[in-house]
Amino acid sequence: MGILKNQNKTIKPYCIITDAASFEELEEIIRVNPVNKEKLIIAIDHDTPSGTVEVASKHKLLINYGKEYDIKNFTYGKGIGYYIAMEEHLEKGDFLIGLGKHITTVGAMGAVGIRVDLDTFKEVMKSGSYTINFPETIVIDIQGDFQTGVTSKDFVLTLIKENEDIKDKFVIFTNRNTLNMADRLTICNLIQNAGVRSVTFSDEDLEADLVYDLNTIETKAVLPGGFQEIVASSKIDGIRVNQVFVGGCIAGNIESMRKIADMLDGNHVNKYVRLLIAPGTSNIYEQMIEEGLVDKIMDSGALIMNQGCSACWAKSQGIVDDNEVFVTTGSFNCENWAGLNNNKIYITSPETAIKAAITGNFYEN
Amino acid sequence: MEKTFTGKVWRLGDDIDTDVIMMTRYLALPTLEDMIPHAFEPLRPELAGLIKPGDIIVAGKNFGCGSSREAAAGVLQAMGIKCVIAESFAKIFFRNAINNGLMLIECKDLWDNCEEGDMVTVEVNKQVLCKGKSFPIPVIGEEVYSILEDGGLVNRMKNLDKDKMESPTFSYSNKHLEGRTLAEQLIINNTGIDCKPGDIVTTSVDMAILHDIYAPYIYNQFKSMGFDRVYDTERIAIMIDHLYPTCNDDDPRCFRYSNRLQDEYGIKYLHTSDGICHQVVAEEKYAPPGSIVFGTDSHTTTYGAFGSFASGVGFTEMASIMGTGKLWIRVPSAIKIVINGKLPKGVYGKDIILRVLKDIKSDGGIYKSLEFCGTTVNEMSIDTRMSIANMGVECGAKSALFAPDEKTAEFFGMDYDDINWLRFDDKATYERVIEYKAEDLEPYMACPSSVDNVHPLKELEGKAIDQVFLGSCTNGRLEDLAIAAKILEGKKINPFVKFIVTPASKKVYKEALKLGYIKTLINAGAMLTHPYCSLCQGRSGGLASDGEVVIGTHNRNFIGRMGSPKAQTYLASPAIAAASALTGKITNPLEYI
Repeated sequence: MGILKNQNKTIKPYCIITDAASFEELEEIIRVNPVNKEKLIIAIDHDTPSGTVEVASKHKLLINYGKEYDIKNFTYGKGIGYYIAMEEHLEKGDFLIGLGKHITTVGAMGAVGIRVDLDTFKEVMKSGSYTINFPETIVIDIQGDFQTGVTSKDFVLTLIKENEDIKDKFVIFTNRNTLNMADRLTICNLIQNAGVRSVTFSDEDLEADLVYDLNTIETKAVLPGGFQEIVASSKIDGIRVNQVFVGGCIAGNIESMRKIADMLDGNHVNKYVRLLIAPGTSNIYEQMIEEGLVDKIMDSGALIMNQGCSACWAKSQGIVDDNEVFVTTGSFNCENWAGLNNNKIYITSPETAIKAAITGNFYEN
Repeated sequence: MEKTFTGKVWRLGDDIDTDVIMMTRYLALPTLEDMIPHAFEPLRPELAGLIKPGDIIVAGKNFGCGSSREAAAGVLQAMGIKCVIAESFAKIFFRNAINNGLMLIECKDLWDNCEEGDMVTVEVNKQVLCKGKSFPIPVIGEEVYSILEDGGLVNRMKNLDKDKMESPTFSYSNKHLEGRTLAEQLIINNTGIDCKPGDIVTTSVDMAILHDIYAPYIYNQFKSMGFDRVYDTERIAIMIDHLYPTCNDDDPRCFRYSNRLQDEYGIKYLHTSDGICHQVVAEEKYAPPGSIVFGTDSHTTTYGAFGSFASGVGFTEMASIMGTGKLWIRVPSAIKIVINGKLPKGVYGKDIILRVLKDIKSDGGIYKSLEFCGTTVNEMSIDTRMSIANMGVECGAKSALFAPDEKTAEFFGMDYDDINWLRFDDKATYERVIEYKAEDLEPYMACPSSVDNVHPLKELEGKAIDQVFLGSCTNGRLEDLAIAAKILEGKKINPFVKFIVTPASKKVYKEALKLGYIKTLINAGAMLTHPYCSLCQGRSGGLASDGEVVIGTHNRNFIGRMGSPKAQTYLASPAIAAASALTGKITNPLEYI
């Protein structure tokens, strides 16, 4: 494969448009005649079904565009765009160009997601081509296993906290036998909070710049309001919880759904807690049905939301109130997210989130 | 109470529904004052800013039709509207207005004889005067008058001596009464009073159903009334169905208050994630044959499918029920609807009720009991009867009743002998009898923007659509999902159609899951949501923008209810909805079933 051999090469990448883009950005994009329609992915996934009239108007721009140019890779409400790209289109070593910062997520399957600005994106759509210009690369070899109770969330928080090595670089992870897809998605999605340019998992035999022994990773927590405060997990020692969400790029996958179904089986969501679970895509929802996960989840009192970004995006699903505590596997914990109130959003692993939903108390240790 | 007053006229038309008066998305705002700026928004957005205290609204027929939302009446009162003078009023709105101290006056002739901006003088119980002409008005009934005199229901309840209050007794004779309509039989059985249509009687409330969207208001009214306990902790059920998942800023508060009502008053039944209240009521058997049930949702008429006299009330009235266990009603007269024969293929319960609404019109059933019988009815499933009873309220009906039969008995695990006292009687007096031959019925759709704007499907086929909603308390049941799954099995919907599927309850969902319907619908391209009220209420989760065309299996297509006032909503059967999602245009399902 030799992903680094693409340096300075002009390639024909996949392009992705989602409804995370603003109305103004979409108005410009839809004026472009896309030359490489087979590699154009339009996935309306963030606010589906449309939470407001304004969002519906925004969606209409993309729907009409899809109709006008007969875009085959067009989906509405079928799931997270990045997941659909990985399920249906991308192969190892492929490049995906888009506007959103979480595009790095597709590194989980060995593709490379590159975030570009609007003008560059329009150029790529118009020409069908993109010239690769990797920044400085860093190869990180992952070895060993997590200790009990430690998860990939703790690993990526550790990386973010120690971020000088990886900031502004293209991170390539190698040798990750113990990490499953859910782990890799967690890492590739959250790591962009360390300021990396992109990330991927490679099975090439590359010389490592850094080695991480997962055995040495300790549990950590990230405090609300961004990723500036990554602290010892003991700091989260029993906070009362109002809402919990499991889904999004980090946990909308089948591995996470299996895990939480197992934890919810025979248990019940705390009376005062709202638990929302969102399958990442239609395929994942169908697989959950096939594996008998749905009954276990629903019987616990959890809500199974429709496929998509749901309460990670939280512009219309999963609104929290003044001073409420929202424990999530979503990617956003900024102020004034999920409702315009003084709420507190804690990003964590699906396991910790489910424990919080059942007990009503959030512990990171 | 003022006996004579004068005010400036604001003139509105017929069928001003409560979604127009106050859209669903604003109902969870903390106070009525917060809602004032949004009054009449989808119809006349400038109006709220122009109305001054002391002004008078003059309207046509059926003012306040549609949803039971008390805020529609409360807001008008809060704005200082002195009274509403209309040709006729929808019944739930009528009660809500009186309970909020807002005077309503029925007057057939004023509307044609006044213009916006005119000054009108009202002499209560006597006449209204405008531009030198006088028009007679009816005497306000005693019960109503006394509530207005008290300044509304809260004051009236405050003045009640709680210690001397008589609890309702729930012992019934359950014997068949000859020569009576179903409604009369139910009310006489409950009250023990030999009453007739038009009489006012006080009923014992067998079950009260309240839900999340009004929980904070119910809690506050209950407290204001001075009650410290509910009449029976096992005769009240709290339903979380409109606002979970929380979609707007005020929703978490409603979730909290739903819990608070249980925590502070010991109410036994709280259904947090079980589905739409009306479906849960059916599953939990809260409204058995012979019962009298009130709920804070207008589609409470659904339980008429089981032979329960069930109707919607506002949140203030619900608070009074919670405290006293009783509610006064006026015994309705009845319209008998007879349907005989075998329905053609592709024609369902939804089509029947749409046809009835077309013929009766949205104000043709005000305060009546609709009573359904005939060979076609006998063949109907419980699901179908619920679907029909559900929409009875859309013509203003107080109740929509089916006589319980063996199917009903089986559904409730009861002996038919124990419930057959409630049955149609040949000697009963009906105000009107409408007969249908099932073979003559066809698929229908309700067209924008009123539920009675019903046209045959064949006149509408081919119109391009943007969104389809399959769900709601009207048509989100197993047989509805079944027909959609049959049509869409192994197929993919039009990729540019937004297709939202919401089963009516968790039980329905799980049954549908077992039968493979959920998988089929997801595979076909549906967004499969958690069971709840979903898009029907038009707060979130599928709102439509200007010019979008939506087909829904729910029960209201009022202007603005689906989002933009310029969106167009058609109501239809699940079969039509599913077939249309497939093709991207309004489609006859016949070739797919």
